[in-house]
Amino acid sequence: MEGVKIKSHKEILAELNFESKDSISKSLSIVKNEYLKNLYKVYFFLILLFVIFIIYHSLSSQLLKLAIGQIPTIVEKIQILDQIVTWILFSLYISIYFFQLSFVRFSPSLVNFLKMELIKLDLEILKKYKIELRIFLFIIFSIIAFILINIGIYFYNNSTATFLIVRIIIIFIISSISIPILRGVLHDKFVVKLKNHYFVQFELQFRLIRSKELESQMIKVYMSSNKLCLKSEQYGLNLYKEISEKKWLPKKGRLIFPMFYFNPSLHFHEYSTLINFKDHFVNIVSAIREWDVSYKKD
Amino acid sequence: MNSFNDLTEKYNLDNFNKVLELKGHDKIDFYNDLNDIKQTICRIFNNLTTIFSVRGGQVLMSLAKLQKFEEIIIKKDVMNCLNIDRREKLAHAFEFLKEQNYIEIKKKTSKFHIVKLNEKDNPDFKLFREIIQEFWTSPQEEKNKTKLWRELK
Repeated sequence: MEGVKIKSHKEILAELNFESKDSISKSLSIVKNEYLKNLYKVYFFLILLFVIFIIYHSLSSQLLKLAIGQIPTIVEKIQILDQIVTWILFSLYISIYFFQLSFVRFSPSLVNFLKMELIKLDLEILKKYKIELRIFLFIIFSIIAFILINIGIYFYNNSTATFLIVRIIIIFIISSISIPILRGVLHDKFVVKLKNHYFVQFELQFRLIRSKELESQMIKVYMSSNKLCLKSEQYGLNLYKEISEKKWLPKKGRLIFPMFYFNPSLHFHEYSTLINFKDHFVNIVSAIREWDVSYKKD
Repeated sequence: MNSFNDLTEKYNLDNFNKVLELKGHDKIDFYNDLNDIKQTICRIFNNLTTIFSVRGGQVLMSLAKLQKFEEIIIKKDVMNCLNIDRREKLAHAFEFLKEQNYIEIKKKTSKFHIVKLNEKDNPDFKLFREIIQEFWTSPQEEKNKTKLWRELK
């Protein structure tokens, strides 16, 4: 289980309160503002990256048109410059992936609120990197694909092919950046270590569209335990069912694409809003404790 | 066992032609089944009170629990029992419960408020208290249990 300690903020954070209707509204506004600030920051970099690429590409293609048929060294220079700029943009793209996607939290005040709630339980909240193995593999695949495309452009000196490949790269960069970042920023992940290999991981989900009736449910907390045992293990499965039923724990966690989801292991899941976060957190911890005691005993 | 109907059926409680006789193991089984039902009721109380946004239900449960150990209960005891850090978090709940006549509050000084379940006007609280005192694990107790468990190697 990986996780990093949350550094204390130098800035003064707003104190969130979810005890009454008015305070819920006020607190949600604070969270939303902080969240949007972070979202704008990420999109600013993305749009900037895209604009630079487009401007550069239109300028360089015009220069290339002028240079073709004149001095061959200028054409070569433009092509080399093309490569350099593309690589710089790609490095920026990777750094956004690694840094923005992994570290941007949507609301420092909210993190502080959760931290204080958990301190009362003598527990510490740790940040969890948002880059999971599948995203990491996707990045590796992107880099390999990008290198191959670049080599292709360099050796295959056909303007139509180059034109097509460059456009494919643009589409690829836009889609591959925007989709994971949207997912990454909207879902913050944290971990609370309990003991040995036992931990609770929780994910925060923020609803951008505000509903007056369900205001208190705008921020959802999805909690899940570590792997308990394999689903195929009959004794573990029975114990899991017994504890889940006793603690009123949901059978499934938050799934984005349930039809593609396959997990051979059992996990406890719990869901809460911010007002009852501590109660539900205690509930899942108590389920894990009960599991540990009963599973060891038998 | 988590159903009254199952209990009635198992021991033929609704069969008035038959005499109910419980001896030895049967009596122990009956007692255990009854306890299971009480425990389920307690779980229902606990889970229902954490669903609602107002903490009134939790306050009632902690008052019922504390009455087992303390003669005089103050608001701070309730706060500790529920493992709540700020007094304001319970202000609405106390206010609501007082208005509904579910609790009695005696203000000794500005900060020393004695709180009690109002069993006189709400006779159902007797059963509620009995179940809670026997089966409910308060958040404070849960925290201590987790602490002990975490310290175990």
